[in-house]
Amino acid sequence: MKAYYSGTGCSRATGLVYGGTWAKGLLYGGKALNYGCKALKTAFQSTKSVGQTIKAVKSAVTRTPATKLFQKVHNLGASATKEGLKKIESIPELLIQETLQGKGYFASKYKPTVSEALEAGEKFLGRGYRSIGRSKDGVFRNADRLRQFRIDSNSLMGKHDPWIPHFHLETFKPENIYKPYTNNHIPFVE
Amino acid sequence: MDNIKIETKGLILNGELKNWNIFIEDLDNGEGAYLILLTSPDISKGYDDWVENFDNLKGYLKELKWEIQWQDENS
Repeated sequence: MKAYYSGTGCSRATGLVYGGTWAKGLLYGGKALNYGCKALKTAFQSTKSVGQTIKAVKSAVTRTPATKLFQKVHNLGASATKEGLKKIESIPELLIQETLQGKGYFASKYKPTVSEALEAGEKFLGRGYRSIGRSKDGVFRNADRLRQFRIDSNSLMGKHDPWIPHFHLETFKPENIYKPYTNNHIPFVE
Repeated sequence: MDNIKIETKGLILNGELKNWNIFIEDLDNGEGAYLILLTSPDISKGYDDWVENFDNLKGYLKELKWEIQWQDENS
C-alpha cells in the first residue's frame, strides 16, 4: 500500500515538472525529484527510515507548492544518501559528467555559480594539476595532461562567443594533446 | 600547416567545421598564448580554443589537418 502511494506521489511530482507551467527553470529540481523517487522506491522495502521518508514525500506532494516540493525532495535525496542510496548529483558533478560524456564543441546546459565553477574545476582536475601558460592565464591541466580547466580572462569577461562570462572544461586524447576532444563552454549564472 | 596567419580572418575549407570562420588572436604579443576563435557560417554559434604558445598552435593546426583560406589570400 505504501509502495502504491509512493509511486503515485512520484508520478504526480514528475507530472508537475514535465507537464506543468513551472517546468522551465525547475528542470534541475525535476531531475533531483526523479532520482529521489527512484532511490526511495528502491529502498522502500529494506529500511524503515526510508519508509518514513516516503511518507514525507507523499505529504510534500499533496500539501506544498511546487518550488518548496522540489527543495524538500532534494533534501530527502541527501538524507537517502546517508542510508547508502543513490546520491543526487551536485552541479559540479553534473558539469563533469556532461563534459566526459560529450564530444567536440558544445555549450553546457547548466549555469553554475562562481564557487560551483571552481569546485567543478578542482574536482575535474583531481590531485597533481598544474597551471600552464603564464600564471595570469587561468589555464590548468591535470596530472596526465588530458583534462583542462580554463577560466582565462577573455572567457571570464565574455569577450567572445557566447559573449557572456563563461569558463571551459576540456578533455584531450593522448594522440591529440593540443586540440581538445571535448570543449564544454559553461556560462556562469546570471 | 606552415601557413599560419595571426590576427587575420580565415575560412576553414575541410573537416568537421567546414565553412566556419577562424581567427587567431595573439594574447601576449608573440611571447605567449593564442586564442583560436571559431564562428559558424551564419555566426549563430561560436567557440574558442586556447594554446600555450606558437609551437602548440602549430601542433593544434597539424592535429586538425585543416585547410584554411586566409582573407588576404582571396585577392
